[in-house]
Amino acid sequence: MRGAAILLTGFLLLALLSPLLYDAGIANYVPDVSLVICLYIGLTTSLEKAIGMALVLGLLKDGFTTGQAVGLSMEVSVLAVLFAARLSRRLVLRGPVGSMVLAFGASILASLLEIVLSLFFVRLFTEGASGPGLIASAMVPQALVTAPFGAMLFWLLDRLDALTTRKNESVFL
Amino acid sequence: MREFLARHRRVVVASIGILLPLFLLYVHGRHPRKTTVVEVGLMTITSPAQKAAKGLVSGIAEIWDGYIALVDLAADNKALSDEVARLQRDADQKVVLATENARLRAELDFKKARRDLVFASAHVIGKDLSPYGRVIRIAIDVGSDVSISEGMPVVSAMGLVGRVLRVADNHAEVLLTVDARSTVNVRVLDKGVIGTVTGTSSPYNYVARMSYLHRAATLEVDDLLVTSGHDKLFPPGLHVGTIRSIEERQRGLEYELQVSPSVNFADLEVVQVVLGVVEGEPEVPPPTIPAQGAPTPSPSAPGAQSAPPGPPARPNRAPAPGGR
Repeated sequence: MRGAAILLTGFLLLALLSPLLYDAGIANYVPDVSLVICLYIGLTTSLEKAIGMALVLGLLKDGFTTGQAVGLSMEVSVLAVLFAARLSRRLVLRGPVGSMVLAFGASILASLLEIVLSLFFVRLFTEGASGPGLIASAMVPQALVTAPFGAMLFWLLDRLDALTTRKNESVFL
Repeated sequence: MREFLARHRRVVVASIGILLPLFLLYVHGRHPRKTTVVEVGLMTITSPAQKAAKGLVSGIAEIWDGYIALVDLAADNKALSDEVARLQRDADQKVVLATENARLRAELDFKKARRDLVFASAHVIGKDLSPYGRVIRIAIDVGSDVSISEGMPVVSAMGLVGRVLRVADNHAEVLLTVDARSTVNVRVLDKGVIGTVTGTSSPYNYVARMSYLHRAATLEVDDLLVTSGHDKLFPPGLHVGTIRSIEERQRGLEYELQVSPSVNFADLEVVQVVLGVVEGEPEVPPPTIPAQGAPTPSPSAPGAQSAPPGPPARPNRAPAPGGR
């Protein structure tokens, strides 16, 4: 139930985000919603379930991201879950600042990972406009856009958890 | 095997989680390749969602823009109304300029065509109107300062306007061809009939008349009358008017022509005063611009050239100082 609710939320956000940001005129730097959700489930869910959910979320993001090779976001999502699960053993997040910093750092790492994976697996990556330079130039702005969404989404998912698990208080905002 | 999986479940799941995307990435990163089942499935799932999301966001944006965010609407409306008014003024101005340009071009063509005449250009600065809105006299902005004197013919590209009646230093009054005091010796173009057109001073319409004794069989309504030059007042070949009607007088002893002037006096803005005649220049029939309600005689009408040229007209009583 909880997992389905989180996946549905992720699906809706991925579907709504592109037209919403396009209409708002800031379509160039789209916050990485699926990454933030993966960080949350990596921090709060058992590893097996989290990896499964990350695979589905990554696959959905690959579907919504036109022109991207299928599997790229899946890999990034799974690694983000593993990173967050590893981090959860040493770190307890409280308040919005921690989640923002985590989202910012994870977004930077995800962009670097995308470049590396694309260089290895995507044949036409170094040709045309979708090369490493594009991702590298958008890395920091996208991380800055993703960071506030980290705080908001952590709070939103926490509230969603509260609905499905009868948890009362959120620790993220 | 089951025990191994149970013991190393996390590692197995993590390995699958890492390797499965890498496999998909390897498959979908190749080039060239066909669309895979996975991509088709993803498109099937995401396309309707994207379409619905786009519709939802567009709908919300439309509601917001169309019904809620209307703060600047009044200002925009006013700005656009002002813009429309300005554009309308510009368009009107362009029409006025185009009309003026056409009129001045016609005047220029007329002057080029009548190189045998020396002109002084003048603006019409005043028009006396009858109680019925007809122009009965005009004033022009040249006078004795450019050697204008009484009796000089006044013409426009449309034809003969009249002659100078009174002259001051820098303006003059013009007696129109439709004034009862005006007489112009004319010939019916290409018909061999010569007569005198006299104005009627009708307050209702612009009309002159011409009487003659024997009705020429070929004379018809819309025949063109031009100055003959025989009166030594008006140079030959200037359009005077067209025959509007032919009426019988005194049981057929006499006929009277009603003549519509070639010039639309209400539309006059620029006229030429004929100061003199250049010796040796052949008479050329003038080009005309169509007057409102008047027929459009061809400048190259055969009658104009075939008509016998009269004696050289010398309308001016002052030496010609040249065109203005």
